Amino acid sequence: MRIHLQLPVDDAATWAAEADRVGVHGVLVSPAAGLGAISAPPVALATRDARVIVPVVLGEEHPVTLAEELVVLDALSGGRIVALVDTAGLDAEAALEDAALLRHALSGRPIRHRGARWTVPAGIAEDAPDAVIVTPGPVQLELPLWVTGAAASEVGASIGLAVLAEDAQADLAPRGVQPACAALNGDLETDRATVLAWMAAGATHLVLALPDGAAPAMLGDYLARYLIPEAAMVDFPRLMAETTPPPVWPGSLPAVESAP
Amino acid sequence: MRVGAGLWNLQQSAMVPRSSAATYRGFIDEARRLEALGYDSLWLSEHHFFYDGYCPAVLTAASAALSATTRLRVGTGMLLLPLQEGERVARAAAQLSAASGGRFDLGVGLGYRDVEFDGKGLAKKDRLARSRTSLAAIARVAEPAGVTVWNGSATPAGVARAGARGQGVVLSGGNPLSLVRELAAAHRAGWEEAGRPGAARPRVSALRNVWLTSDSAERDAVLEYQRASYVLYAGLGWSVKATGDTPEMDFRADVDAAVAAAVATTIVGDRHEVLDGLREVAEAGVDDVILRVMIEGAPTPAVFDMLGRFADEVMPELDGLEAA
Repeated sequence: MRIHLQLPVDDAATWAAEADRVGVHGVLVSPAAGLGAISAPPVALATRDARVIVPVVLGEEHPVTLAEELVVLDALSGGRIVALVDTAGLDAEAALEDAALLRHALSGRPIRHRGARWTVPAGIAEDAPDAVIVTPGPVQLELPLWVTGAAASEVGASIGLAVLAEDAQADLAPRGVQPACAALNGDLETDRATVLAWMAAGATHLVLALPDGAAPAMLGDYLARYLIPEAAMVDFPRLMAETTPPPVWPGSLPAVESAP
Repeated sequence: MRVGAGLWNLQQSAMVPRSSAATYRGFIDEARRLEALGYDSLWLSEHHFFYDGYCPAVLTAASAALSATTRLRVGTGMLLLPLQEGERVARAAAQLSAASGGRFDLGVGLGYRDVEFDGKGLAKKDRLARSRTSLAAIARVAEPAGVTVWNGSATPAGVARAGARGQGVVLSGGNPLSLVRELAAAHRAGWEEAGRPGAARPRVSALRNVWLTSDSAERDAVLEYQRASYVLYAGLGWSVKATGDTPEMDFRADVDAAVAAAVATTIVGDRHEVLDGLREVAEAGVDDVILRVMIEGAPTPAVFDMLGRFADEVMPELDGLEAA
């Protein structure tokens, strides 16, 4: 199971850079940032390897426009974007149409969509083509869409999107990618139990929120040292994390890599 | 006269094939280099559903450029306002302004390609009404947050409306100087007739095809690249109606004539020739100029070499240059 970090709203790029440096697999841009792929570029530019998970709120824009924002962000990040699609205030039927159109728009296929909410193309202009393609296409083979929100279960089941799980005791029946989210409280035994519970439940990706008052140093000294190894194998020998680390190397170390 | 550069369309075209990842990686590097050279602003452009990946999401791209720089202003030239939800555009502009210390310029235009309206489920005939609604949201949410709003238009009525709102205009690089003069005057008249809203006259900015060189081979090459760059306008189907003394420029009806007219606007030559050309632009009523240098196929090293020379040799002379 791979571990991701939910970023705070403030100073998100600094947190993201530190998460990237210590090998956290991905970072979730705070939904409170509010504007999905428009808010996310500072995080994309602050990281080099980490996946950037971007909240996308259905219903606040045309799904084709949301797809266009995502493909630009995917290009900016070199193909590291995951969209966390929030069904927000839409009912299941509306959310399903929007999510399906969003996914189609990200596929690179010509779009010919006739639905209750959207018609693409509209067929209003006389000489307009009977289909459009969102360009550029994603850098990735397929831009991952995870889904959350009140209508997530229906949308996920209908069109095969991974649903973000929030309850490790629920019957996930996971197939393929299974994202989940949880909050840490800073107590090591409790947090280890949280991670292990999600591993047992079948999660493949766990997005963790840090406790209030956490500092960026916690990413290396706590998350990467104790919890990422815990999630990387069964029965992690905790001695590996708990032994006293070697002393800091004397003198200043030369940089071995340029900043992202 | 403040000097910016543009337009970053972020294309991967038939003549200049490359990956989208390389395009956007280069864009971030170019924003940093432009800032280091001392330019005032960088401008992006938007289109949709075009084969070359022409940037369809300028707010996302602007957000990246702003986060990669510390002094450079970043503008949309233009964001096609009727194609988006105005309230969301306004919130995004306010957020970009707040995050960048007020360095975001929101340029908005109506759009003109049928396929772009059709692809978003909209009728082009509704574009003015949708734009008005969105501009109201921008006035309510974005401008109080420090966003500078610019309007793109090639008609006297359009720029006069912008002036009446107390907002600036960005004029197209393909406009002959006669049209630039007419539009600048209409913008100023619109502002004055509306009772001069705002504390100061809103600025007129103009894209101009400018290239500093004393080398005749480079001069010929630039004009050829300009020609190639305007073939894009034929592909997009751009046209400008006749107005005043300026004849129609229709890239659909007569590509060769329209391309020739656009290329004829180019200011190319040594320091003295370029300065003379820019003084003429200022005399036409232009406050700020955006160098249209990101032209189809021109090698990036050549573009930035020219921008460096321009910054050294020409920019210092423009400090005291003001619009007539």
